[in-house]
Amino acid sequence: MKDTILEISDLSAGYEEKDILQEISLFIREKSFVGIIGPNGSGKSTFMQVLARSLPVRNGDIVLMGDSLQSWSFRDFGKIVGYVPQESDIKFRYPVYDVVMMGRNPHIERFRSPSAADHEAVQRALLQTGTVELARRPITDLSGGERQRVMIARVLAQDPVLLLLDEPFAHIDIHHQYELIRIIRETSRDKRAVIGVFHDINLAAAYCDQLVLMNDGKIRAFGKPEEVLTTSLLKEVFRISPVIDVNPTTGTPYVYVEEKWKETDAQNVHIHLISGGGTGTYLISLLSRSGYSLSCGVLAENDSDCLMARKYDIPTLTEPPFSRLSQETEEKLTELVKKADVVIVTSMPVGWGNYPNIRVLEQIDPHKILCILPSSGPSLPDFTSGVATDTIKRLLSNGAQKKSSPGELMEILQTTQIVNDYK
Amino acid sequence: MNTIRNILILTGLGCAVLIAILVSVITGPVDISLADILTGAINDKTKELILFDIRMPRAIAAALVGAGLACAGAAMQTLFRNDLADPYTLGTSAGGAVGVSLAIISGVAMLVPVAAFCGAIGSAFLVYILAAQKKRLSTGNLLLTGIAVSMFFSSVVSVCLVLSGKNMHQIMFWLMGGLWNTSWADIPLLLITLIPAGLLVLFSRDLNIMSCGEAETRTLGIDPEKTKLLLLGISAGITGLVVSVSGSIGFIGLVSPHIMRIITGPDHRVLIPASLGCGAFLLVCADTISRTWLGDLPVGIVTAFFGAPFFLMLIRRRTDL
Repeated sequence: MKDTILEISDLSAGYEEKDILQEISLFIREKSFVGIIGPNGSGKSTFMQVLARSLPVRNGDIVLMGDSLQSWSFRDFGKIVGYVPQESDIKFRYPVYDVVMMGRNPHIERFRSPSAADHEAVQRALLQTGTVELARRPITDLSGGERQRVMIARVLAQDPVLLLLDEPFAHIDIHHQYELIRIIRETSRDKRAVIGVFHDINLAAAYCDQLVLMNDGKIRAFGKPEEVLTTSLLKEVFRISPVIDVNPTTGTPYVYVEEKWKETDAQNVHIHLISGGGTGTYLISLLSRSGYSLSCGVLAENDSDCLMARKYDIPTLTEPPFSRLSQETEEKLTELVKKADVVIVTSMPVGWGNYPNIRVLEQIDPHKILCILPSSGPSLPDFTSGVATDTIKRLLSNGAQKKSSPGELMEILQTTQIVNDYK
Repeated sequence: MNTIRNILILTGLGCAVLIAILVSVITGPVDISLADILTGAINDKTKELILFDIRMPRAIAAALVGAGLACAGAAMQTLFRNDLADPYTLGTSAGGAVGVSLAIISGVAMLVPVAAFCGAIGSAFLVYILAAQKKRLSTGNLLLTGIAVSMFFSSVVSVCLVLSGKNMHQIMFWLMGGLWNTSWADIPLLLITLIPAGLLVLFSRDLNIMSCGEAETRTLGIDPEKTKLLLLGISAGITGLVVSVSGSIGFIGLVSPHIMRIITGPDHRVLIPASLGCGAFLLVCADTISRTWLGDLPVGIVTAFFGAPFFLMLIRRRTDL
C-alpha cells in the first residue's frame, strides 16, 4: 500500500462571499498522477490555488504528509510542494537560468548562495525541458510556449514531492507537450505525486492514473480514466454527445465529440452500406449522425466496420470471420438492397467469401447504387482474379454513380437529389 | 560572467559617488581649490569652516539621503509590482508633512525632525491597517489606500498652511525638501539607514521571487504576507528617517531604480546596491547644482525639474519594463 501524500476532507473555499469549492474530499497517494478535468468555471484552478496555499481553506481539512496544510512553514512547504500556475506574467528581464534557479529557493539557506547541487538541479531541469539554449535569454523575450516550458523547468528544479500543474500545456506545441508530460510522468513514477488540471481530456486519459471530474465546484467522479470517461458523465458535465473510443496508441479511452446535424427528411431515406475492412467506419458514423436510416452488411463479425455499426446500434447482417456468405444471409441481403433507397459500396477488399455482397447488386436498379472508389479507376483490392472488378465495371456502365471522396458523397446526399430521384 | 560585470558596475558607482562628493565639496559660491585641500594650504578659518562643516556634511548627507530613497524606492516598486511606486507610496511624505506642519504651528520647531519621522511612520502604519482588512494584504489595495491617505493628509497640510500665518514659508520649504540645514549632527542618523538598506539586500532573493508574481511565492518557500510586511516596514523606516532630515525630496526614489534596472537587470542582489549608489550620486549632483547656481533652491525642485523630463525620456525609449 502506498502512502497518502494529501488527504482532503470536506473542503470548501472561494473568493469573497461565495464558496466556489464545496464538499471536496480526495486522497492522493504517493507516486500517482492525477488529472483534473471539468468545464470552465468548475473550480479546477481554484482547487489548485487552495492546494498551493494562495487561497485560504474556508472549511474542512487538507492534510499534507500527516500535518495540516496550514501548520507547514512556507520554507518546508516549498520543499514538498511545487506549483505551476495557469498564467505567469514575469515582466522583468530575468535570465531564464535565474528564473529556474528560483525553484531552488526553498532548498537554499537564507544567507547562503546556491550550491553546486543547486546548479546541477537547474542544469538537469533545463535539459529535461529543452530550454538549455534559452538559459541566457531574458524570460521577457520568450514566446508563451517557451515561457511555460521554463516554468515547468523551474518546478522540476524545485524537485517537490507533490507537483501541482494548472493547465501547464495551454500554449505548448504538440511535440513539447508530449515530451513534457512524459518527463513529468516519469518523475512521478520515481518519487512524486502529480496533480494536473488538463484541458485535453484525451491527453489526461492517456497519461493519468486517475481522473477527477469536477463540475460546479464539486467532484463529480474520481477513478481510473475508463471509469470517469463514460458517455453519461461526459454528456451531463460537458453537455456534449461523446463517442468513447480506444486510443489506438495507448489503449486508453479516447473521446470524440459528435457533430449534431440532422438532414430534414433524412430519416425517411434508407441507405444500405456494403463495406468491410474498415473502409466504411466513417461512413457509418457520418450517415447515422446525419439521421439516415442505415443498414450494413454483410460484414464479418470482427470487422472494424461491424464494431462501428454496433457502436451506433445499426442493423447489420453478419457472418463469422473468414466464412463464405451463406445462402440464407445472401437472401436477406438481397431483400435489404432491394428495399433500400440508396446502396453505397466502398472500395473494400473483395475475396470469394464476400463477393456475393457485390453480386446481389446486379439484381437491383443500378441508378440507386453509389460506389466510393479511388479516382484512379473502377478498381478495388480484388482477390477474385478480376471477377469483382468486372462486376463493378458492369454496374458503373449500367448507370451506377462513382464518387471518390466522402465529401462528394455528402454533397449528393445533402442536396437529396439522388434520394428524390430514386424514390 | 555576469558577476564580474556586476562588480564592475557597483565599483564604478561607488567611485562616481566619491568623486561627486569631492566635486561638491570644492564647488560653491565661495571658491576653494582642490589643491588647497590636498596640500593643507588653507589658513583661512572661514574657508575651512565652509569646507568641513558646511559642504562636507551636506554632501555626505545628500549621498545618504539619495541612497536611502533609492533603495527604498526599488523595494517598493517590487513589493507593489508597480513602476510608479516610490518611497512615498505608503503616504510617508504626506504623513511627514502633517507632522511637520503641526509641529511648526504649535511652535515647537525644535521637534520638526521627530514630528516628521513620527508622521511618516504613522502614515505607513495607518495605510497598512486600513488596507489589510481580511488577514491578506493585497498590494492593489495598499496602493490605493496609500493614495487616499496621502490625499487626506495633503488636505490637512493645506489647512495647516492656511492657519500657519507667518510660519507658512517654513512649512513650504519642508514640503519642497532640501538639505540646507544639514550638519554633522544629522550624519549618524542617516548612517543608521544603511542597516535596513543592508537588510533589503539580504532579502533580495525573496524580492526577486516576489517580483515574478504572487501565485507561486508560497510554493517557493516564502511567506508573502510576513515578508511583505517586514520589507514594507524596512522601507518605510528608511524613508521616515530620511524624511526627518531632508523633507520629502521627490523623483530620486522613483527614477534611480528605473535607471539601474536598465543597466543591471532586475536582480535585486545587484539592483538594490546599484540603486543605492545611483540615488546617492544623483542627489549629490542635484544638491551641488542647486547650491552653486540656483541660489540654494530646495533640492526637491531641482530633482523634479531635471528628473521629470529625464524620466519621460526613459519611458519613451523603453521596449520592456
